[in-house]
Amino acid sequence: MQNPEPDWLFDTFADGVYTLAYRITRDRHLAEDVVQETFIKVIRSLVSYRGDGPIAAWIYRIGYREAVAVTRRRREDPLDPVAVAAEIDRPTESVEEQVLAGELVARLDEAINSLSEPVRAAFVLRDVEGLSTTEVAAVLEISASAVKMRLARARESMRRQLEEYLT
Amino acid sequence: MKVNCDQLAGLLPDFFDGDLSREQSDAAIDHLATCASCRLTVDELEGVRTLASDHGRLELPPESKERIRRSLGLS
Repeated sequence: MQNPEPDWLFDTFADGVYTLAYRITRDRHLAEDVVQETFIKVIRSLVSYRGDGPIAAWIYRIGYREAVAVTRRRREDPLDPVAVAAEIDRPTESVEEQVLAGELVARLDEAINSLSEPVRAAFVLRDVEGLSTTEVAAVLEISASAVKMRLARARESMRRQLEEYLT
Repeated sequence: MKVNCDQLAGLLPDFFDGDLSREQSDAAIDHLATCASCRLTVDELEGVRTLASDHGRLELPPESKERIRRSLGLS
């Protein structure tokens, strides 16, 4: 099987790696650095990629390791979630939608940020990025049952924090 | 097979992944049919998943995307 083209990989996964990296680092610039480093490694390793696992899991695993590494190198004070929500780029919405979604998005960011890093990573990969539980297990290098435990913890915490938006 | 509220909570990760056995799935559905509290919990957990997929994703800013593309030698 022929390996996918670097252009296609970047177009397909750059935003997803950025989302994961931002959710781990909570820093836009660090997240951009993670995307760059991730795709340098992906493109360099592409010739040796044997296609023996889902390519999404392979790319996200490289991105996750990179995001964890840069976060450990640079511990920062907690950021103001409202300011962060205003700063980061999201898929394009109308002005009205942006106003309506503004508070919700800030609360969602706050709730995601409140999760511990291992729980947050599982939640972002599964419920934000839409990877399967098996793929999340491959990215985080843990068992599928451990992923499910983290997801249960994440969703319950998010449910309590976002209750007013869920009914 | 019957499940109570605590047992249902333990089944929910597999419930959302569609990984329950037929017997477990029937028991979960039977419990939800009679327990308003668990029904609300499941609805809210579904709501969390919907919020996350609808609003949790970010886009790399276009100028950053272009800069990284160039640095990688992509067209």
